[in-house]
Amino acid sequence: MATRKRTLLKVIILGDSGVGKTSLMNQFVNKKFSNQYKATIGADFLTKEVQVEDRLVTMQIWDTAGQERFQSLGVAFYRGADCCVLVYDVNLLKSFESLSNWRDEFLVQASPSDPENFPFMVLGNKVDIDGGNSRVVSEKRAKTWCASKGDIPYFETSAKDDLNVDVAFQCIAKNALKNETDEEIYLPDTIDFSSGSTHTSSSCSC
Amino acid sequence: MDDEQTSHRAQFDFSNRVTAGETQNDEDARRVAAGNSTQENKVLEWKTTLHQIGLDVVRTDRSLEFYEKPSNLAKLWDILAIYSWLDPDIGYCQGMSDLCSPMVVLFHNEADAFWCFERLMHRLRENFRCTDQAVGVQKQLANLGLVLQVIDPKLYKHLDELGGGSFIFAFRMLMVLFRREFSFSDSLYLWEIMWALEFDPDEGHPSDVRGKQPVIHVSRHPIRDGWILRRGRTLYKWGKFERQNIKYGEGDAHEIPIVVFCAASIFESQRLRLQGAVGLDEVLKILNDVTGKLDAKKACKEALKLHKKYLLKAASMGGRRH
Repeated sequence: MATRKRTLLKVIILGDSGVGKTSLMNQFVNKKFSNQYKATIGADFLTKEVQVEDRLVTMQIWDTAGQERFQSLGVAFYRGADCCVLVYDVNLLKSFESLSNWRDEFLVQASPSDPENFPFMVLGNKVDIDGGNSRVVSEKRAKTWCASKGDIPYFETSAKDDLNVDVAFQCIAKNALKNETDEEIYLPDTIDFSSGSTHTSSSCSC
Repeated sequence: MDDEQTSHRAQFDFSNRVTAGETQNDEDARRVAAGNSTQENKVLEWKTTLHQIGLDVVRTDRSLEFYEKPSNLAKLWDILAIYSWLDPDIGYCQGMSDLCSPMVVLFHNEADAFWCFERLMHRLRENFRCTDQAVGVQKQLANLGLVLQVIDPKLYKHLDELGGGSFIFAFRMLMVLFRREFSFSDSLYLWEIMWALEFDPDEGHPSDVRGKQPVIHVSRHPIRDGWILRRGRTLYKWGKFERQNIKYGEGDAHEIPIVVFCAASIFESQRLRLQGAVGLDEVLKILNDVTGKLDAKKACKEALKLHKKYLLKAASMGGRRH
């Protein structure tokens, strides 16, 4: 639905159930953490304006359900994504091992035009738990995996303690934007001129 | 039954079982690969399911004081765990804890809560059937599209042109019967009205066997002559929604549950904004914005009106509809 040069960045958060996708999104957008988030059903999104160098962009962050059996819904939600954030829980090996699957599944379902260079990001979440004593995936191991998948940037985060959340999302915005400039701008055959439009095509500064 | 003792046991098992589900996965997977008996596979699959149940139980309706008590969380866990064992085709799917939680809150007795949840799942289990290609509830989403196409072709066309013909943005509404759109008590109120309207005295009949009539039970005897006897009873015994089906319905019109019409009524209440939406993200935002602002009684009233409109229009369109 790119009807004009975008200042909107669509970011998809993927990862196993319970790794903290909703918490990360809410910490970044609303600066809040709650122990009472419900399991995400279907998908939901929040938006936030961020400054990337000299540009003001709107990040649209899509939070998805983590149960594997919902993967077939991906096609509907991943379309038009500018960046994909893969989240795992550093205290849970299986959630780390699932990253490959989430990445592959995303590439199949979103089918980006240049899968080799599509911007991903990996977040190892919940580093706060038990003062780090219960973690089972080392930073080195995670970084090795990221390197093997085309140097995916990696951050260790705690949505609870607001550790590295802003830094990570800033980096996400930057990488997504970098990717966008290389992209052909898609102009649709029809443009809706109806008055209801709230999107103004301002700040095409580049 | 010694309630105190039972809940302590359940609490204990709860933590144990969840851990078992987490740590044994690797070894379990190898054993599956080595080729074991079906029963063993069922046990292994169930253990993986228990892990998911454990994750969701602790984040279901946690704002309720009721769930501050671990023994109540254990009840929710027990019911979902047992259900997933008894219905392995469906197992456990996210969303089911939202449907089960009110039963646990309403019935002190765990067995009563289980059987009420089981009956609810009897109606809804097809929504949770997942394959590599689709989630069962998408059939109801398609029905929502069908209904809107008939009652409001203009809005349908607009949403379809935006790429929303699959109505995926109404996924949550239908999956957990508006539990997330309404407060806890309002959603129960909505459920009660919906089920009263859908009441069918034949439901629960011994011939109504699981699998034979999946999803919502439907009346199969369209009688067009108004208030006449059906199986020796007058029609007023049926809920109003069912009566409309019997009076005006034709063919597959009966297959669509009232919850679909409730969703349609919310779309209609937002039609001006939806018509102005320029992207699917905006559609989703409009629908999310109504969360917490809905009136259950009004939604059901509108749903009934739309249902009647749909049945009459669909009947007059006749063969043109596929």
